[in-house]
Amino acid sequence: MHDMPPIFHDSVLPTFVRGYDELMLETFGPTYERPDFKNVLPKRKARRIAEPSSEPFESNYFRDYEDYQQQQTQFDYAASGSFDSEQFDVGPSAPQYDVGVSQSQFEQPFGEESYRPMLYVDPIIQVDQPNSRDDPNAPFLDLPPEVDWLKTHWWSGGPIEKADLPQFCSEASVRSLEPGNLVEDSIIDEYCKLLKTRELMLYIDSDTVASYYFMNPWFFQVMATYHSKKKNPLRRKASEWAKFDTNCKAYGTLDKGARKITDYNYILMPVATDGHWILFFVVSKRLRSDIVRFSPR
Amino acid sequence: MSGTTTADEDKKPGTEGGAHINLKVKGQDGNEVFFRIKRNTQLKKLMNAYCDRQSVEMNSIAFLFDGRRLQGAQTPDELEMEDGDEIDAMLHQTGGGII
Repeated sequence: MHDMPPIFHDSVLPTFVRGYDELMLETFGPTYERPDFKNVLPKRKARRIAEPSSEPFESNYFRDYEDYQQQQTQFDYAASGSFDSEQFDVGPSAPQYDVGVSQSQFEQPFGEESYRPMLYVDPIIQVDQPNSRDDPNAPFLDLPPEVDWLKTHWWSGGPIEKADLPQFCSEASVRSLEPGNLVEDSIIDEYCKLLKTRELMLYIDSDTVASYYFMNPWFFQVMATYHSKKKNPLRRKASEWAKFDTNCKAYGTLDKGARKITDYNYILMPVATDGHWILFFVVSKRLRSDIVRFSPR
Repeated sequence: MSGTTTADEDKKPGTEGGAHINLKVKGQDGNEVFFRIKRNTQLKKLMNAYCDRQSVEMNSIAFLFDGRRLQGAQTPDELEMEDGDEIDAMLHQTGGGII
C-alpha cells in the first residue's frame, strides 16, 4: 500500500471540506454551524510528520486555508517561471493530532478529566475472582466507579428470595441484572410481558385496542435453526418449509384469541447479537405516511 | 361396551397406543431427540431427560413450543400437544455491556 502524498491533506481534502461548507451554508443559512473536524482523522500512515513548530489544537485550519487562498490569488503567475524544482508550495499543513494515549492518561487512567472507557475491566482481576453467577455469595468484581454508584443507588446487594422471582426466571437469570453481568433473555421476555400487560390495561376500557406486538427474544434464534447454510433454500423439503411456516404462524399468534400479527401497528423484536441486545421496531405498512412525515432529510 | 366406544372416539388423532405421546426436542444445532411420554406427565421430566442427555444444566436452556416458553409443571394435555410435535431447545442468550 502506498502512503498518501502530503498534497492530499493540504489541497485535496480542503477542497471537499470547503465544498461541504458552502453547500451547508446555502442550505441552512446563518443557522449552520461549522462542524469541528478535529475528530476527522486521516489514517496514521497518511499523516504528515508533525513539524516541531506546529500547534494543532490552537491552529485555525480554515483561517489558514483562506489566507493561503488569498495569497494564491495575489500570486503573479506570469512572472513566475516553470517548475524547475522538486519543492511545491501546497499551502498550510493540515493539523496534526495524536491519537495515542498520553502519559497523563497512563498515570491517571480514571482521572477526572481523562477519558474513562465504559467497558474497562481489569483482566487480571477478572481471572482471579470467581464469577458471581456461579457463586451467589461471591463478591462483586472490582469494577469501575459506575458500578459502585449502581450498587449504592440501585442494587441492594442482598440475597434474592425465591418468591421475588418471576414465573419463568431462575435465580441465575435474575442475577444477570446485577451490575457487571450480561442480561439474559428470560429477563427481556418478562419485561416484554410486562409491557404487553400494561398495553392491555391501558386500552381495556377503550375502543382503541393494543397496537404493539411483542415478539419473544427467541424468535430469530428459532428461525435460524431452520436455515441451513449448506443447503440451497430452493432444495429444501416440503416438510421443512411446512415447519418453518408453522413456526412463523405460531410466533404471529402468541396472544391467543387476539388479533393477527398483521393487524398490529408496531412489532417489537428483541434480538441478541454480538453480545448486545437490539430492539427491532417494525412499523406496519399502513403507517408508512407517518414514517415519511417524521423521517429526517 | 358403549363406554369404551365413547372413550375411543374421544381420543385425538395420532394418539394410538393409549395416553402416550411422541415428542421431538430439536436443539439449536439441529439435532433431534425423540421422547415418548404420557399426556398428563409434567414436561419437567422430559426437560430433565433432555438436559441429562445433552449434559447441560436445566437453567441454561429455554424450551419453546409454538413460540411460547414451556414451564416444567405444564403437561402435553394442557398445551394441546399432538403426536410428533416439536419442542425447540434454545440456549439462553445474553447481551448488554459491562458498565
